[in-house]
Amino acid sequence: MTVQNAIDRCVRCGFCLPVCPTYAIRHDELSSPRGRIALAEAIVQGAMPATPATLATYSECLGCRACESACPSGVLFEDVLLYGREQLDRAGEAPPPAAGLLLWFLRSPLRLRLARRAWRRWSGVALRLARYLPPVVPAIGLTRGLPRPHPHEVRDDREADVVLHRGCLMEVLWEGTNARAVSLLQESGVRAARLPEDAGCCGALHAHAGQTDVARDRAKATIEAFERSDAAALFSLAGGCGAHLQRYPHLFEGDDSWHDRAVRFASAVRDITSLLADHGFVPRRSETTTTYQDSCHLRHGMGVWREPRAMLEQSSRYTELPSAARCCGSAGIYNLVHPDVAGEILAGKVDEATAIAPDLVVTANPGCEVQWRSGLHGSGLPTRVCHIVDYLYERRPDDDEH
Amino acid sequence: MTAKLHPLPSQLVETLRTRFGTRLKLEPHERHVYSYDATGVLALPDAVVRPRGPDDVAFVLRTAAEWGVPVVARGAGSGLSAGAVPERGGIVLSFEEMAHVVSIDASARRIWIEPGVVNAPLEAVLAPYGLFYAPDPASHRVSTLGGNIAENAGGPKAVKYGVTGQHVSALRVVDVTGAIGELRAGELQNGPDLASLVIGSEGTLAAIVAAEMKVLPRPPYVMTALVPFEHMSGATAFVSRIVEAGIVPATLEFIDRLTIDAIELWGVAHYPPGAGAVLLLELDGERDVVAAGLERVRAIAHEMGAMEVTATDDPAERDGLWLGRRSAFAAVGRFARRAQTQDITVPRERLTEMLEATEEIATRFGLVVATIGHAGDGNLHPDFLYNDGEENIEERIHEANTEVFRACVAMGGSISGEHGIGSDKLHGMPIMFGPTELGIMADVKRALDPAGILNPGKAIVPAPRVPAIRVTDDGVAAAIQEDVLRAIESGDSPDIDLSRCTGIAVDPGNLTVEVGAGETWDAVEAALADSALHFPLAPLRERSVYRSLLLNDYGPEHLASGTLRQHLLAVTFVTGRGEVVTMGRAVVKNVAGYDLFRLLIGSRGQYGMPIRCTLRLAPRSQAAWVYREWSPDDDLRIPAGAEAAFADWDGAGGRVYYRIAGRIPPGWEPSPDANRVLAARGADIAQADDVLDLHLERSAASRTSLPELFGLLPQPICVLPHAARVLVRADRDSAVRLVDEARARGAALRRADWGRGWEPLIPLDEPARRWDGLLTNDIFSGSMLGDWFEREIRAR
Repeated sequence: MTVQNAIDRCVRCGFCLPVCPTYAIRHDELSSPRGRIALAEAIVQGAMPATPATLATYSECLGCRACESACPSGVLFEDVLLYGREQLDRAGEAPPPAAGLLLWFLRSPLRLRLARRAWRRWSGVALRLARYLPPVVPAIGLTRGLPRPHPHEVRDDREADVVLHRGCLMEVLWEGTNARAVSLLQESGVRAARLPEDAGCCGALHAHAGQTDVARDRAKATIEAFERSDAAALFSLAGGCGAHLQRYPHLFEGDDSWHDRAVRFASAVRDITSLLADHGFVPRRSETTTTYQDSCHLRHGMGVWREPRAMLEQSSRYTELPSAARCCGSAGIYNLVHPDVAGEILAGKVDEATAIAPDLVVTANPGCEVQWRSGLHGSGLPTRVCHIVDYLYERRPDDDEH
Repeated sequence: MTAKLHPLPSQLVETLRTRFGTRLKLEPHERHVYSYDATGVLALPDAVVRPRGPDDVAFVLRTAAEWGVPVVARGAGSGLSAGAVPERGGIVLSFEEMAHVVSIDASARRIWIEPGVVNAPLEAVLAPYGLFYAPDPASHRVSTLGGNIAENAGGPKAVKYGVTGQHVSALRVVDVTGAIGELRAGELQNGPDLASLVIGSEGTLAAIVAAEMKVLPRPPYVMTALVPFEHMSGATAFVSRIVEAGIVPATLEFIDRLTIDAIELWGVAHYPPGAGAVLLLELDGERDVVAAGLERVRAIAHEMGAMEVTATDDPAERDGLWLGRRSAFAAVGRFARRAQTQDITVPRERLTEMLEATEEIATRFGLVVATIGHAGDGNLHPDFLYNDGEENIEERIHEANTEVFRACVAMGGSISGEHGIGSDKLHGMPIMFGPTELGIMADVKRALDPAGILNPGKAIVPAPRVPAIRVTDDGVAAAIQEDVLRAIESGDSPDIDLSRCTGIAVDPGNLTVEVGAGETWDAVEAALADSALHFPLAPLRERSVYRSLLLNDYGPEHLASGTLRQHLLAVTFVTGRGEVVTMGRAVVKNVAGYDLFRLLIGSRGQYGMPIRCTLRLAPRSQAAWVYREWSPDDDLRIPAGAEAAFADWDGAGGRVYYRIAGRIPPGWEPSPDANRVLAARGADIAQADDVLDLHLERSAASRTSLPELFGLLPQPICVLPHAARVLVRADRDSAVRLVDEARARGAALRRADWGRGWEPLIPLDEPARRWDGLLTNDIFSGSMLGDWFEREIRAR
């Protein structure tokens, strides 16, 4: 039982408190990682009933895993969170309708493929219509400034060494970004390709919503697709997906054959900036002023935070956002479930951005991109938001410099 | 532990709910998360209240006292002695919403804070003012200043800058009657050091609702060095040599092999592989001074057989080295489910001996021990690592703890240097203290909290008060005890001659001196003449140790060295009941029990007669006097490197003198005759019978009151401008008139003493007055002592 390992490791030193975004807002131990671990312990022991009220804090948690980076004892907090969310699911606490619909939708690769086709065709109309939607965070973020489609068709290498896990929303709404990532790798001399569409969604959102069975099915499909590709490495452009792919072995505790396959799979998971850096990619310098929002799971889950900064420092006038390592409130479908908390966190971020007033906020995750875009909308700042791949694509070294 | 429904009387719950609404937490899961600290002990509170100000706290204390319900104050719950665990249920007062920096007075180098302010973020708040707050317990990213004060927390920097209590200049407290008031400590302290009684009392005597803390100029340059040794013994020998060489690093931390392994698993620090122990040594100050210091450190390290010494001034690298050290307690959690953390302190030269004793005890009880420590001040944290279910583990841990307590007490140390006693180390109290001390501490608790509602079961043991025990092994103490007991029997006021209390014993390896209370400061200075050490304070008016202690006298050196309370480590004294009490130890960090001996500072003899005391020494300073023209309305900024200041004023013009280490700043002249001027003023004061000694609050709000006061005053004899202390000559009637008039005009006069007997013209505020009355009358039988002191003063 992995939640027990986390409980056993925790010495209650409280080093996680100052890095927790919900504790920073609530100043209440119940909204802190240490509190959530202690509560899980009481529930596991049967000393505390698992009711929607006692479990509410696991829904409130952003799942950003900043507490894991801050933890000297090596507690894997995500195990506690997933335990809590699973209990919530069992207690019959369904996610709100919009989030539930999204989770149902993402289960099926077929639905995703249809959505992608429909989006390609109707996105113009959809975006115009979407402006009449109520101004909730995702709606604003999605309808204002999504990345352009890639101008030309990218050809996948047949015998690829590196494959892109397309993701779900990523492939529908950020299809151009996905294509540009493959293109950037190929231009750096890497044989790269996109994983076939039947791999579908990685299942991270389901796992985080406590739907562990669905998450397991999604993981199996993804592992099988990767094994068929014969590639040595796999990456994703969504931090939450990448970190979840690395965690696949946890889904198969006690299932030896799948566990072994998951371990092999997890060891192949990489991220785009470190892949590009490994292959000598150096972005072109410009006078653009930039700042960076860490993708929580890329930083705290995969340990990648130096590489994107190094790329930005090489290629722009970079200023660190004081709270760059702290979650922006997007957190998967969090801004659908807890728009109030997400909004409060975002407001603090926008204040910091106002002090820096950069030309660009660069992120490494589509959710953060949407969240930031909606935060900046109406702030009066001319700042734009983009994914680091789209940023780097604009700053490819000139051909003659190659 | 099971989740129980709150058994608080429903009427009490309604009273709290009416006032606090959603800031009252009653649901089991809401309370469960306030049931622990970092020790692993769990106990569920019956309610959690989140106060937003002193009135909220007073309301809770009054209500709780009425119903006899325990109240436990809680900051961040990062304590290591179960201090904030509500073991008897009741109400947890969580200060998470009282977390504001109230004011910053850069010129006076003081800040007012609420208790929920977290320690580490102060760094960024104070940096724009060029200031920093020195005490830095390892938990400083998490722990709150309220908790730091309640435990009298130390931290790595204590070796140079001292512990939390030394940085407190005032506390705003709420007592069990709901009275809210200030307890001033140091220059403005107008009576016994009641603030020191609250500091380190672990929430058992009062609730702290605000504090004024001293802050310091940020050192311009910091260098962190890593000094690895193949064996532990090399590391401790190195520490002794550093101390003996008179090098005072900002930190001098010890980490053993097992702890290094645990930290390296986390991978934040990059300590050298193959080292049996590493020392983390930090030097701060002017760049060239730090560089020279580092060269000396390197030379000593080389001589002592250290492995390769690395040093860095890069902030990110320094952070990494420190993050490793600061997380050590939690990092060893990777090796075992449970860790029993010790917090012993021994005189510095016994460090090696104590480490060896710890290893031996661990071996004897079949335990694994990982040790870190603040080697520079003799404070060690051996962690016994174990897992539940090991054979006889509870007994073995308990026995090993007890043995460690015995060993450190035998070496003249303390069972807790900075974590506190809580409930975790209660069983060590009778090892460290005799029945006399235990009984008095318990009596103090009974006097200030008769219903026992404040954090019951923590910090002290509920021992009975015992009759005076005859002392046999201490001649002077026995003789004075005899005099007092005889006086009690005869009903007379005792005729005690403290000049019998002589003897000066310097301990250069521990940077301390033990001084008979009857000695003079000149004799102390003479005893230190041949050493590289000195006592960094010279009181202004009093030449004998006991008088300056009992009258809280201080001199120009208060600027860098504060007052006696910063330097007093231990006192042996005789109470009005004839008990001989020894409190404190010859260690700079000691949070075991109440700091009763500090009550004597400024007590005018009401709490006891000092026999001897142990003082902290400092390396002899190379500073020199400088001066410039001065008038009372100058807004003086303390120059960098200044360690002493006084001013001279003749009604038309004046000079201000500073003793400054390092370069003379532009605009200042060297002053070869400052010492002569100071001596002459001292003689003026000593010869006069009618000195009025005034102390103003020098805060931003009251800064104008110094020149205003000057308008009322006759010509001053001497001025200490940064304490806003002015000494003038005035007969008693005009002194009383003057004080009344100045206060009526709004001058922030906090302390005014008149005449040879330092007659206090400003009474104590509440609740200090009530506390002082309770303690003098009920605990120390001080009225008899007071008579003695008044007569002694008159007789001089």
